[in-house]
Amino acid sequence: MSDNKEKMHAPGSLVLALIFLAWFALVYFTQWIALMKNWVVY
Amino acid sequence: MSATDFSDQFRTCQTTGLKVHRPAQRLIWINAVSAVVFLLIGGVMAILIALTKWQAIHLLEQDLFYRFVTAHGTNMLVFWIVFFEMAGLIFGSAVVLGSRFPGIAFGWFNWGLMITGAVMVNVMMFTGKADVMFTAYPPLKAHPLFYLGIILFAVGALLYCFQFLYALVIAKKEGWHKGSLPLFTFGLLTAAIIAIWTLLSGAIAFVPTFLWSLPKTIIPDGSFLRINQVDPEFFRIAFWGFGHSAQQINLAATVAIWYLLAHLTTGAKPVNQKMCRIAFVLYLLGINLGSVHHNLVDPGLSATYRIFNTSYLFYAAVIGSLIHAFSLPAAVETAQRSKGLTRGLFEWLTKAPWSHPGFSGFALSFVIFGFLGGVTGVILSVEQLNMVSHNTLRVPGHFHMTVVGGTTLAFMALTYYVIPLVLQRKLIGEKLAVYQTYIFAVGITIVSAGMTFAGIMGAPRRHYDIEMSNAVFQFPYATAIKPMLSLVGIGAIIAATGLFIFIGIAVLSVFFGEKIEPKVEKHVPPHAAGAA
Repeated sequence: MSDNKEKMHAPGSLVLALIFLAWFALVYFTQWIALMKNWVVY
Repeated sequence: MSATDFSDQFRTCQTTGLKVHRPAQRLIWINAVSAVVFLLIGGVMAILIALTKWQAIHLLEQDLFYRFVTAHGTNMLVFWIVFFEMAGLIFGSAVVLGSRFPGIAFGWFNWGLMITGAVMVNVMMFTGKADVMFTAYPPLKAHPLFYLGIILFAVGALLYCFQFLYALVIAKKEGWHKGSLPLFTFGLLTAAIIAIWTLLSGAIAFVPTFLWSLPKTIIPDGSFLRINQVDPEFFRIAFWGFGHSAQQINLAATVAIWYLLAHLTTGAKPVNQKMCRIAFVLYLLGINLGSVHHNLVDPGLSATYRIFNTSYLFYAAVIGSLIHAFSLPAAVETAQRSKGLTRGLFEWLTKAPWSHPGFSGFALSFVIFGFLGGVTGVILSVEQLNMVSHNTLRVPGHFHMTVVGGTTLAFMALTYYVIPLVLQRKLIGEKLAVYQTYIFAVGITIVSAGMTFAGIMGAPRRHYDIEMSNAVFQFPYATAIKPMLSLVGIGAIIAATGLFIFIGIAVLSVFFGEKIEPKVEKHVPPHAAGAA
């Protein structure tokens, strides 16, 4: 077994993934609110 | 014929060392060139439509608007993308595996079917005999040759998929390739498997509709082929079994291309091959029933059926995307860090080759597809939100993020490699190519944002005049809707500029670029029984 086996070290990608999840939640709920305000149930 | 009989049909790529089967290279050439021709037609339609949606300009007349929306959708979603994918299948099987592509004459026959079908469909659309939109929902009825053209195209593509599978078998059997498929080819394999399901579903939708469109002089009453009515709901379900699955083919192909471009531009390798392959398999499992998100407002389907399919089952495919969403940047980061770019969290990203169109196209495509397209797609597929999003401009806002900002941009980025490495022509306008990906990405983001916000405010899709000037009642849109539609027009001008720059570079390079002399070398299957 080679001692030079590549290790995964991707802290930047982990942060990007978390940013993506936060963005997802933000877009989801702002769109829900925007649609709710535009399409009021009478 | 034995495998060694093909040994003098190869050349060696002087950049990658890959062995290229030269008859397969010609098939890649014709499919790629065909793709760009239909991209050009679709692109011209796009700018005309966008300048009509921009209310202040309102360029086209009413009938031309619907005609060109049909032509734009069909040429872009079907012909541009599928021709390019066929070129990709041949590349991914023959070139990447260093194998011969079996049945070259059969490959030309399949291309012949596809080009005949595509030309027929375009003639029908532009002569006004098929103003039925890309979706062609009954009871809208087009000329029979429209449906026949789609069927011929689909048959050609389906046969190509089977030929691709056979090519993989031959590569193993004759000893051209040994071991697991490379990840890129594996991704294309999942795309091809989805394509077989997709095209069969399309046949279920379009064959009865073709028979229905034929006049009684051809199929008289009483004949078993006579179909007097196509149930609209039956068509919608069968059509979207074809329609959305087709987008999942694009997704699998796009992700495969992302891995390839990441490798070519930064030397990235997946950090966990098994996870990446599982993610591709999740696309296979999750998409087919998940296509029901196109039927969320259809009567006759229970809410339980719709919500189960668009939530639990569809999210299997979404999990696949989330795996790739981490795997791809992690692969790039690992490769970049191994080159010494380890300062802080993001030096690997800021010092990435952003001035290389292959990397910028991949990265922009990844961000637009993921952050914008994927997020809005999941939102649209929620039953409650779909009720107020269906048939609004939100929907094209979403799919322009995925298909255009994602898939098309990735295909463009790959083309800048395919032209010198496979088609053996030096790029003309290489410096312009650097800017092209950015111009196109910015333009399509503006278009999509404008559509999305206009749609949230109630702007309908596929409608010539949202103000409904001749109607008795006017809908009280928010005043911000007009600036949003202006964004659609402005963004389209920018995106079209990027598109035409790409087509210009591609066409000039393929036909007038300096030829790269091939290094013709004999190539025998290295893993055949008895090979040295």
